[in-house]
Amino acid sequence: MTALLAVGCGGEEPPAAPAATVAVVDPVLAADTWPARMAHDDQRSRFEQHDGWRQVFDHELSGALASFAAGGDQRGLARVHQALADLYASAALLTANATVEAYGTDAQPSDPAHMAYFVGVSHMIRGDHEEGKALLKVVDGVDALVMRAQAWMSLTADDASLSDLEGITGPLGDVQPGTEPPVASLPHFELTERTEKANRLGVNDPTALLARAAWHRAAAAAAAPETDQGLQGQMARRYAIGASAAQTHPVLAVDDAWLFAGSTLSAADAAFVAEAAASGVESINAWSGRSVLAAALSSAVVEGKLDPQLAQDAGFGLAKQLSALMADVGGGVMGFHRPFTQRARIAVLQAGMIAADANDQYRDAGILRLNALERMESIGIDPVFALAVAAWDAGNRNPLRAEEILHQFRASYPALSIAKPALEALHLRRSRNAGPANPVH
Amino acid sequence: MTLKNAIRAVTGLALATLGTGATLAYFEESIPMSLNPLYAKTMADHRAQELIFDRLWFHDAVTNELRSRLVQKYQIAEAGRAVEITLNTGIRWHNGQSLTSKDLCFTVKAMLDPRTPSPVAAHYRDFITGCDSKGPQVALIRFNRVLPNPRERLMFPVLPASAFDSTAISPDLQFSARPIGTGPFNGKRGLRDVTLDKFDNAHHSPKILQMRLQEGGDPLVQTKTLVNNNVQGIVVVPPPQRPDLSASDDVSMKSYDLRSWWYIAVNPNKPALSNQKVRQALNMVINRNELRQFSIGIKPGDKNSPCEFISGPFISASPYYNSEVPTQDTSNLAKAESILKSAGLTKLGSRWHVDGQPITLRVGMLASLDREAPDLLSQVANQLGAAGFDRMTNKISADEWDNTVMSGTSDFDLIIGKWSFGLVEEVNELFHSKGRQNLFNYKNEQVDAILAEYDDAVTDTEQRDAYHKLHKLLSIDLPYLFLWKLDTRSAWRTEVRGNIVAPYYYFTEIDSWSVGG
Amino acid sequence: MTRWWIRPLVRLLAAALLPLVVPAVITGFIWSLPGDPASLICPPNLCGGTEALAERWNLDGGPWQFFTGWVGHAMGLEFGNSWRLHQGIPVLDLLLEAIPTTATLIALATGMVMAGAVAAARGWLPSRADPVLRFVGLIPALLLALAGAAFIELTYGFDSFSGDGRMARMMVGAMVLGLADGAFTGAVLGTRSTFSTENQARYVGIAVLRGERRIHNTLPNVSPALIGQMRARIIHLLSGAVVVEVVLRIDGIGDLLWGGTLRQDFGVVLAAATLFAAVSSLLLVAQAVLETVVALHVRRAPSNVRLAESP
Repeated sequence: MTALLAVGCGGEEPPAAPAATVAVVDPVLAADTWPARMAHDDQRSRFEQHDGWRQVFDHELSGALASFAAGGDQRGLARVHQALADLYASAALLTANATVEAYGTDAQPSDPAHMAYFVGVSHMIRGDHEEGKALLKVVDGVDALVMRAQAWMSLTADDASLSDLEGITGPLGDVQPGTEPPVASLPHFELTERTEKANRLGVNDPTALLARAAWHRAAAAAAAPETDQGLQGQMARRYAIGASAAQTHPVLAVDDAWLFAGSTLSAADAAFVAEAAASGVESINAWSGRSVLAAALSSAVVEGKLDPQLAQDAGFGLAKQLSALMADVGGGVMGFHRPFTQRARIAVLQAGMIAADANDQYRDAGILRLNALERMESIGIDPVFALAVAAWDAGNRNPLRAEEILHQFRASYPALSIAKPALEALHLRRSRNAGPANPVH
Repeated sequence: MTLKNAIRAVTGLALATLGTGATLAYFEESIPMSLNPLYAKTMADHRAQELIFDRLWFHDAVTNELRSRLVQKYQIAEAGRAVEITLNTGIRWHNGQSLTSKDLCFTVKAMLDPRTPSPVAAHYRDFITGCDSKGPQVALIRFNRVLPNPRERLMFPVLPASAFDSTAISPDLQFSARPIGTGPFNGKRGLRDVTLDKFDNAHHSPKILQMRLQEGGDPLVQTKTLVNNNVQGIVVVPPPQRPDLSASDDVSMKSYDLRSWWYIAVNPNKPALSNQKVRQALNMVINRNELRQFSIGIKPGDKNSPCEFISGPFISASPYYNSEVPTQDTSNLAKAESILKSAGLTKLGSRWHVDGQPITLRVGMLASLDREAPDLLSQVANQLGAAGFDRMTNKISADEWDNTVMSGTSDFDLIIGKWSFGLVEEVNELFHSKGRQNLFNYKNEQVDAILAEYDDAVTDTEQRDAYHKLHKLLSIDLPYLFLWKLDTRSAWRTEVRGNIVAPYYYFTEIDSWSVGG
Repeated sequence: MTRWWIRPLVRLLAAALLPLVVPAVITGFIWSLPGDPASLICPPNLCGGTEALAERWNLDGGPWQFFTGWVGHAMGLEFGNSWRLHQGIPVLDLLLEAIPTTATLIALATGMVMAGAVAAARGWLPSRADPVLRFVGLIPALLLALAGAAFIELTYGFDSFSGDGRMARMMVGAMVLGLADGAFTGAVLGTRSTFSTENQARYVGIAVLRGERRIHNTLPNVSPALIGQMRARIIHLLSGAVVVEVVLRIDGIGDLLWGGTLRQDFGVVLAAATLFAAVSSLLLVAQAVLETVVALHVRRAPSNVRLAESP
């Protein structure tokens, strides 16, 4: 086996051959998924020959960016830029959520006078435009903040272009695929607390993360062939931070570079997930004949609601079915089968999460979200998904897991440090107001 | 439709048994010492008590929403210095009596009673001043100051007034072994296990008929027992066992959000160790990379390591962690030797001496930690031996830990231990000269002053800055040699469904758990 | 030996005093430890309000008040609750659960030892088996118990404390207790040696010439020695039971005594140790009674034998 499999599979012992497995989705749909197709040596060889794909498989986006920058696979490069765009967008949402909870919900009289800007921008990023604008209107005293506030008044997080955002945070440099914009020194601002001691408080503007996301999105567009533009838009819906408008999506031609090792198992899944983000359970019914993820999840829909336990069962069932299919193709069970099928299992959970979220099943979506994250621990955590979970946690006023996630990935993606002060503030404030607790052995 | 049937065929057996319930057996770190929430000392105590009692308010394990199963409504009263709580009706205690405001006020009064020698209650005395019953279901809890969000602070379990003769609650009451709560399970502590029987209530309908917990023994035996389906769960799975369990389709690994860090506490009352330089030299003698590799099985550079070195009393992801203080990952024996010499120690032969006497270090470790980090004690001893210290090692039983270590009366020179935290990461009790959990009665006026600064802080950033200072000072004075944070993972059989694990308290969402085929 | 009754009488006196002396010694020991007893049980920095605890546990009035109070309550079988070992569980419940367990364990082990003694007395166990028995007798109880514990844990897993697992623990425990530390070997060799020495006495030879059975002649004479041996062996088994119960995690009196001592749960220690003392007392009483019966039997003039008249 090649380097990809040796590394990707972590030297695991091949598991025992699967027992007779019940087909949970139409075998034709299953055969169309990337894990099933990659069971064929010839289809997999493309991904085994480029170091960048090993890094994508291992979720090392920075390394993959450098590898693809050296050439050899433009779509691979585009995919990494797209992932980085999603990563920083989630980080922007994380910062925004933490800022609103810490300095909005838990505002203190001692907070610096100019926090209104940061809370206002955070509301804008969260999609609460009215609250955001109301706060941005009252920003005064610091010219730089007033200017930023005015610029935001005419924007929304969804439609802000790279140039709009660069107009606020400063230029990030020319969009050159294969590179990363530099990270500005932190903190962005130092404000004074309204206490006798007048301590300085470092605060960062989440707009910087949004701008960085836009930069990578532009780099992805520049790297990919023009024919992939529509698909990129469709794929971007998975981690889009604004509310999605319900619309139908066609099944587009998808190169395996957009699918391999990811949570979109087939071309139809890209369209299904984009629709599910707005239409929820309805889209499961609509796509169950074409999308393998929708087909798997269809058994988990009970009376118009997605049952999270059944969705987990569906993921398990699909992984088993794919495992059997891959064993048939490969003439036996091979070491790389399990990491591939586990990704399919997680993909079902993630798709269910997206559908449940759009179906007003906030808690059920949370259960699936946390299960997906737990499942990733055995095969490697996807930083993009993890940051999205961290953002969700911060929105729930839960800083602990978010801090761990941010800490885990900050070394690899230094710009994520922008999110740290707001998250810290949320933790400190919640801790200060929490009930008594002793250290326990 | 065929596909739906197919999926249900895969999971049908499991679903079929959901309605009937089943028994769930699991291994704990240790058997709970007390089932009385006022006397919780270990995480095993907290977890077991969560099954038996309802806390007044709690955080949803998924959405973190502040919820209560007991409170129907509440309102802030007396200009923020009190909260009026209306309890739900129809909630029964395990002895059949109804939950009323008298129970809530009894709990508060018991915590305020100085004859209740509970460390848990002591903290509530800092801000609660009393409780009045205003009606069968209405109680008014008073505070000594305005609290911004009192619900966040009122997360104590409610106790039944009918089970006690007075508000002086002693740890040896039968309640500690056979408690009465309003929680989903009626618990009874046996000599070797705790049995928890389902108790249907207006606010709980657990799907599991009975839960049984036992202290887990050897980790390998625990793992084999789980894989062989002779037990359904292990609450704490040591890192070396995790890969095998992760690779099994029959077992699910679950994250358990608990902030735990490991340390070697140094006894500053011993002649040699009273010298700060000696403690600093010991810090350099310890090769944490090797300790981690040989006891937990994690090599330097391993990806997604559950174990990360620390340089102070917080985990690295915490806002209180001072990232400017570097960790000491490897040993530096040459530097350690020069520091020891400058501290007045002499090396005769290969052994260090102080005042002409060879130094023998008595090293102890809480015995149960040996399951999470096997051989850590002997590895530490080996490193000390290689650096020229005679040493004696002891595994400290839970009893001795409570009797002597926790009371600050142990005679060890070094103690290996672990502290666990939730959202609140306060370490004042560990390092303040009058701290209740100050293992060796460590005393440093500067540390006390910083902790006072923390207590008096007006803003949360002042608190954080105080702890950053504390971290830096402790990394120099070294009452502890800080080792690492270690993530906690549980393993449950896949037949256990809906098993949401709550941060810290673990079983908060037990009603959603079930055991199927 | 005209004052044969002195020895049984001393035994009876010792039996009467033992259940009082043991708690008295333990009480003295509690007060001899540094610090006040309540603080030992619940250190002030952990518990706070230890005065209230001292009052509750009757530790506030000195050793005499504590001792007399404890004995008074113990007479009414009121031992209070466990303070630390099994916090909150009534000590009486612990004893009631532990007594049958230990009794069964000791009975099974005693059965093994008695069988060995009988087999040796009847000559069923040949002398050529002695080397094997001597080797088995050398194995320490701790070693055998550890091996037994590993076997039980691996075989029964979570269910090792209930049902079959519990039964297996008892059987393994009894075997360990009966075999280890020379219990079985000592019984066999000790009995054989006692009988073989006695068999060499002249009266036995004469009795055999008269056509009587050896054992009928020797048994009354060796009985006091055998009874003493057996009492010593049962005491030995009782003390061995502590090790076996602790290692094999059998919920008996020995385990209670050990756990209570480790956790400084003086309530449990007092009760368990006094129970051990009471068992020893019972054995002393039994020995005294048997000694008396044998003495009376030996001194009873046979009705069908007449002394030869002097010429």
